[in-house]
Amino acid sequence: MRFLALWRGYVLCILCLLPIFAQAGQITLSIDDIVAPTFHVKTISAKLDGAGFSHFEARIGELSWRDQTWRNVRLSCSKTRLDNGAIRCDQGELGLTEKLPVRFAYQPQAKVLDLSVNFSRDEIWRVRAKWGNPGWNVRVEADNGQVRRLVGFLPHNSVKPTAGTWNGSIGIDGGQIGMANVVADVKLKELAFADASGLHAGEKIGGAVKLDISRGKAGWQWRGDVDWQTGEAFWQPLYFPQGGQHFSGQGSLEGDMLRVSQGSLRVAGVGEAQLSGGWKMAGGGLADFDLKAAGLDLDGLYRLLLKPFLEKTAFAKLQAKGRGDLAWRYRDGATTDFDLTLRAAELVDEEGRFALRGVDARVPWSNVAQREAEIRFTGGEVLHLALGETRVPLTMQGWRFTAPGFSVPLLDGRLNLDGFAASRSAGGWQWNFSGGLAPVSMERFSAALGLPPMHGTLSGIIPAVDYAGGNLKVNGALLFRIFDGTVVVKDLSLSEPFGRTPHLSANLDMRNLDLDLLTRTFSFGNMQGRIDIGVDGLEMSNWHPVKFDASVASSPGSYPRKISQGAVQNISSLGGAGAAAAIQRSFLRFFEQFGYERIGLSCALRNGVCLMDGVEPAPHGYVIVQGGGIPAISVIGYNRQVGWDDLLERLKRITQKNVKPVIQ
Amino acid sequence: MHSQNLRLWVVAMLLWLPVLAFAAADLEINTPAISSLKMAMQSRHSQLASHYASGAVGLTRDGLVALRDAALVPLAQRQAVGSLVAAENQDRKALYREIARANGHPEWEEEIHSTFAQRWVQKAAPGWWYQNHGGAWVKK
Amino acid sequence: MKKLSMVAAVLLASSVSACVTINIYFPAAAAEKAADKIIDEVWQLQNQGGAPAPAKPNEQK
Repeated sequence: MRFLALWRGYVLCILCLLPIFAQAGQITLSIDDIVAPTFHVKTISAKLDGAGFSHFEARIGELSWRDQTWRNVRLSCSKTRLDNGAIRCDQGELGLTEKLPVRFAYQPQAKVLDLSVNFSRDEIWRVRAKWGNPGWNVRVEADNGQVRRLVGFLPHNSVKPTAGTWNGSIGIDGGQIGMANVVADVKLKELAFADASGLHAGEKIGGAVKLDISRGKAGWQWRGDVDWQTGEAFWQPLYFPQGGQHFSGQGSLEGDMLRVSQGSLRVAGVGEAQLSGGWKMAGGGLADFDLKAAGLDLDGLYRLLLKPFLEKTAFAKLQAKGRGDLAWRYRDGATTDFDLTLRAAELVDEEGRFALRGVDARVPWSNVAQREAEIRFTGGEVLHLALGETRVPLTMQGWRFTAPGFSVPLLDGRLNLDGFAASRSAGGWQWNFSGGLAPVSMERFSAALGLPPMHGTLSGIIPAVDYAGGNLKVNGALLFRIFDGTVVVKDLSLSEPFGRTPHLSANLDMRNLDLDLLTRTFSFGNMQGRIDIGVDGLEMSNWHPVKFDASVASSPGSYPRKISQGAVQNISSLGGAGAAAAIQRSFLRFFEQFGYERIGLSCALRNGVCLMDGVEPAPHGYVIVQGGGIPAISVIGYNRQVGWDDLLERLKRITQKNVKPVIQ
Repeated sequence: MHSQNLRLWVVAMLLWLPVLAFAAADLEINTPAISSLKMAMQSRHSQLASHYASGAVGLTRDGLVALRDAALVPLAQRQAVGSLVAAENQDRKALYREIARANGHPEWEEEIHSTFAQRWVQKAAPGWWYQNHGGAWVKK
Repeated sequence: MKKLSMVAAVLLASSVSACVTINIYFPAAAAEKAADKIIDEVWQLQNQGGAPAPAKPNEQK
């Protein structure tokens, strides 16, 4: 569109030569000022004089096109020939923004002007203008025309061509009311364009543009074909590394509303779409829009068109595969309908947080009517926990989605969800569900999370889970059964679970855990008995604990209480100290197991330091294991402050410091 | 009388002590979240440094970074630099929030943000671009 | 003596009020110091004795 409009500028200065009056020895061209909404030409004079009318000179005082104004445009020729009533010049000069060699021939009878401008040996622009009744036409052709010569004709604040050439022709037909038809057939080579900010730019673009615009009753009708074959372009935030894009379509331009009544767009690596719609050019944006695309390549679609818009979401780094179909209807600035189908799709988070495989989905959404959607996947994972084949039936009522209940195989158990509901409001998405976890073996669970292999099963009830404003909250208590005891998680909340710094806070209460199972799991040295573990005010940042008040204590009740030599050594090392050597030195080395009365250890984690305490105070320390039975052993810790990282290190390496076994 | 007076001063001094202790205390910046943000930003810096030097990316007056002149970046890399800038800003905002949170004063976020804004500019290498108080880009 | 207790009261009051302001007072110097430390690490400005200070990440999960 813009290309054609430009040409009127060049054409104008030639059309000024219209009526001619001849006098003795001098021919004077007299032309009135021309004023139109988008241009005006003022102070036009032209004369032909000298010996044998050999000198021709035309001047335009002011030529204005949109915001551009040129003053003193001059066309002159010192060797003009009059030939059968035609004025010819083979060595003329055109002064527009620069002085250029021109050739022209003017036939007053036929009312035809031929003008050719040689910018260089390879670059030639030819203009033929013809007028009279019933109308006029102008045809511009170029061989290797520099596109940057058009810069002056473009409006401000837009992308400007900086390099590149064009070949082809542009023809404009007009009548008394102005332009009636524009036909362009142009090939572009090595085109480069950019705006001042560099956020919209293209380089080395090659392709072809065909355009046919004609005046209709209410406005303009257009038909066009754009073939972008090579070159790269960046249109923030989208980047097209290579050509292969093609658009053909037709439509209209009425006022400032550009319509595509029928269009077909092909994007390399993504697929093809049929589209139509209306675009308000004066900043109004998209008014309405229909798009239909089948068999889109999700990989290309995601990388080229979706990823740049998802940077701050959990979907910022995906590997997408598969095919999709989309029908999309947009009216008055809002989506009214879309119908999305995914076939054999795969969505894998590059950071390993989630993955869905074998996704087949049909989501026929409407903003007014209730619709049913179905999403299936054959497998996947969330935070390394494997998900099995799942079918999610969704009822959609606008941006409110509900699912009656479905179950997701999780490792070797099942996560049963009932009453799932999600809705979107101004503050983003919110959703909630409740459900339960059918037994998952701890072996699988711990392996998936990279924990030491645990025994037992994990099962529980999941009360209402709410997500809103980036925060996930569990209302009520999560109940799990592991190590033959119970684990209750209360006040669990998670902020920005997929953000840069997830925060978790919770209170944990574990009761009656079987020490035998537990110590076997963590290869801690065998212990027998039961313990309660409380973790109050647990705060985790980026999945690392930063604050809590934890305590481990023997459960009330009667049960066998035994502790192995290995376990004693290991417990000792928690507070630091050299128990192993002491045991080895004493007669106790002959005993594999000892009896105990109570075990207790607490840690209050603050600022990376664990403040430790035990069952009861001891002189200069605290009792961790209180002996009982025969042979009995007590462990007393003296170090009350241990760096959390050190503690974890010690748990791993089992070195000893500052704890002495009191051998009784 | 004298001794009483003296004792009074000692009491007053002691009461003031928390102020001194407080003023001298360091802010907690060693939480796992801050460490991981710091590491992410440190490794990103190796990619951003050349763009600071070229002037393509500048330090904004509000403690973030911005694509100052995309034209200084080869076309094929502009999108990637845009992503770097977005990721850096996301981390910087998270960093300011985490420091406030780690010190038990989430309401400090804004002041920490503006403290950083000044320090980034102060510590910027010569030749880098930053925004002055009026928002204009200035070469250091 | 009475005068003294007045002085004491005033001093007490002032130090108490000072204590109250502490709670909402932003530790600008400490924040600046913290910012400098982080910026030095992120931009690797000062020679940090070889490798940049390794932030000791706890065992993942």
